[in-house]
Amino acid sequence: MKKSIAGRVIINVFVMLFLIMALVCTVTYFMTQDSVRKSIGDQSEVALDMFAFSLKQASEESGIPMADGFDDVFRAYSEPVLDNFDFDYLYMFVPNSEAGTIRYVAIIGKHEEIKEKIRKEMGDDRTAPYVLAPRELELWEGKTPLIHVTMDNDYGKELETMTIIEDTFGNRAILGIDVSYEEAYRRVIETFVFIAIAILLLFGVLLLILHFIIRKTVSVPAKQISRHMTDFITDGSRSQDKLKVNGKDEFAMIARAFNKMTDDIDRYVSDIEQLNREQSQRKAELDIAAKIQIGLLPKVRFPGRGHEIQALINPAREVGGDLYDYQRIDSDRTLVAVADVSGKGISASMFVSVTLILIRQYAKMNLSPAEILKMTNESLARHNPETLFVTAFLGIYDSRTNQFTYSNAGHNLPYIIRGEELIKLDKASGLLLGLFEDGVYEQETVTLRNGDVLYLYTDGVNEATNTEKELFGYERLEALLGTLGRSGEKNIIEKVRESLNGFTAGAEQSDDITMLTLAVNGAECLNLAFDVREFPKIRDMIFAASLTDEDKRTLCLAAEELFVNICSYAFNGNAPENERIRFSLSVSDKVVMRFEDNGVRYNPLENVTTMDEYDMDNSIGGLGKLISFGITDGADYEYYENTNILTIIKKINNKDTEKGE
Amino acid sequence: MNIIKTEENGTITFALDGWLDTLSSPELGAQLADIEKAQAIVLDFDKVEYISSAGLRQVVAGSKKAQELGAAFSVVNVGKEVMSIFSMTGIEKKINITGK
Repeated sequence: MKKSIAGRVIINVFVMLFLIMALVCTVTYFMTQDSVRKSIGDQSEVALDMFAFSLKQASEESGIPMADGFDDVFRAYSEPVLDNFDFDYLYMFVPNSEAGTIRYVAIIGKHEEIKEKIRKEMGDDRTAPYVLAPRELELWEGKTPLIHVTMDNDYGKELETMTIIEDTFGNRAILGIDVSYEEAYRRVIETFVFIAIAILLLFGVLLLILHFIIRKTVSVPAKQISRHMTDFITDGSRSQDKLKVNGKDEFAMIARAFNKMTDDIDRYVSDIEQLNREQSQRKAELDIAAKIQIGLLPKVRFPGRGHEIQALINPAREVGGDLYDYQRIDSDRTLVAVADVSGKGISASMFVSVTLILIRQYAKMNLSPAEILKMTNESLARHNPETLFVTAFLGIYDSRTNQFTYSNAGHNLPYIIRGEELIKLDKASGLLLGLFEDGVYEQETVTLRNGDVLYLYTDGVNEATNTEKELFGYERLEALLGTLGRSGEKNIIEKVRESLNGFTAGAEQSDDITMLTLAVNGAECLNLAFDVREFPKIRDMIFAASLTDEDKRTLCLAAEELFVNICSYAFNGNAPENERIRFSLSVSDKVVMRFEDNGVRYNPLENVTTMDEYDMDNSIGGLGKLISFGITDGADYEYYENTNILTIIKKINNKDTEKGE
Repeated sequence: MNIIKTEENGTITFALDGWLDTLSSPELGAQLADIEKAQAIVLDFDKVEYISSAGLRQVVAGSKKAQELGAAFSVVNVGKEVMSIFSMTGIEKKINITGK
């Protein structure tokens, strides 16, 4: 069990008290030695005076001189007096300095063993060899009336007090009394020890009482508070009882403070919970907003006729102020656009959504890029209380003529990546959208070539910032696009993104990043009736391509199976006269074949049985697409604006080995 | 598609020449359907360099026809490319097919 504060305090105090007492006793003992000796001396003097006086009287009254034979008188007079006085020896002697002896007139000892000792030592003649010490001599010669001598000899530690006594008969002797101071010291020590023990006991009792008081006033409240705090922290039960506040002592203050603190924490916790709820609600709403926003945009990859579109959008926050868009205006023309609203976050995202819808609606009205921008600008500027603005680049690609007509509203200049060459689309730049209703826009037309990649982006790319606050910049971007063009890289967006990630590693994304590429793959196109007899046209187109015979036959087989399939399912075999299947073929490092039809929605990539599962006897119908997907390297299905778009990819290994038909 | 039909000791052989695809294979189908009696039916693929699923169906139909007539059925002189289609579709395992 842990010791309580009270217990520890009491034990420490007691030990300290004990040490202090011991120290005091020791010091006092040494300090009182002299005074003890002096007091013994004083007592001895008084006693000696009394003896001397009474002995003289006795000698006078009895007429017995203080010489031989005085013994009995001495004894008779001294013993009653001495009963009340603690001494070792009382004696009277006459020194004989010539002989170097002393002769005892009388001597008595208080204790039996001492009496015995005296008897032995003196013998019968009462003479003992003894030369007077200098001070004793001074006394004998009358130079001093009284001396004290401290002795430490066979007779013990003693204080001798001596004086001269004379009777009326002219006898002179030295009267002395010996008192053991050892005994006196012992008594003093005993007294001290007794007092010390008494004090310690007294203090012990007092401390015990104190202990109970401390326990009641300190330990118990402290324990209570601590238990309360532990409960508060561990089980987090916020609604528990408050601490009781008694009196005005420190614990009452702590209890009050603690109660206030728990109240505060309760309030903060509920505030935080509320905030969290609100925040997660906001977060959830933002997530939905982000999904809606992304949902407004077309897919990031689209295989168009004679071209392929790829896009990427990467908002800096949940929702962004960028957009990309593409849409088919008719069977040959495709619109592509990127735009960037000033600012980011919710306001920008709302504004960008409006922009997107406007562009889309105006594009449907068969307007030119400049007209689309003009109309969009007008609509935006008319209802723009926050004067947000948009930069936009918009163009229409015509797969028949390979012409790209574009118009720019204050947007970053896109590039055409043409192999080693990098062409900046720097014409037809006009005012940004949303500020002035009367904005007018120009447009410019360029002719694209097979293999060209049109690269559109927002300033999130060139203004990507690394941890050193450096911008990615146009120089890096152009160098990168140049390198990618030289190496014939197909996946420009992915490579740029990798490069941006490498550049900004560790830095927070500062702006929305959006890119869109339109890669011209120069596909030739056929418009075919829903009739299997049309297939030779496809076969002729495949055989006109520069491919090996084996590849040609493989492609023919794949195309035949799919074409036959489409003919049969698109309109359940009853296609209207004017309906056409559009087939295109593009050959680069791979072959891409593409079928478009406006028949019922049907994804041939679904429910493809494997060869192992295929049951020849019972399901003849699925065999064709099974073969078709089995001999090619990739397929993609898209349902876009009421059009089934099926794309088949076949890798080619040895393009150069050309064997004409 | 040229089809030359020869008959010898109850064995009917169709020597095919060209592409056996959606457009041409009905012709083969018709000829196979016309057979009334045979001990063996042989399709000679020596000059067939292409077969689509429509062609495969005619081959399967031929084998079923042979079964009805109690005749043996085989496809012979199959080139590498066409053989790969037969094996990919698993028909190779069902019908007696031999390569060149």
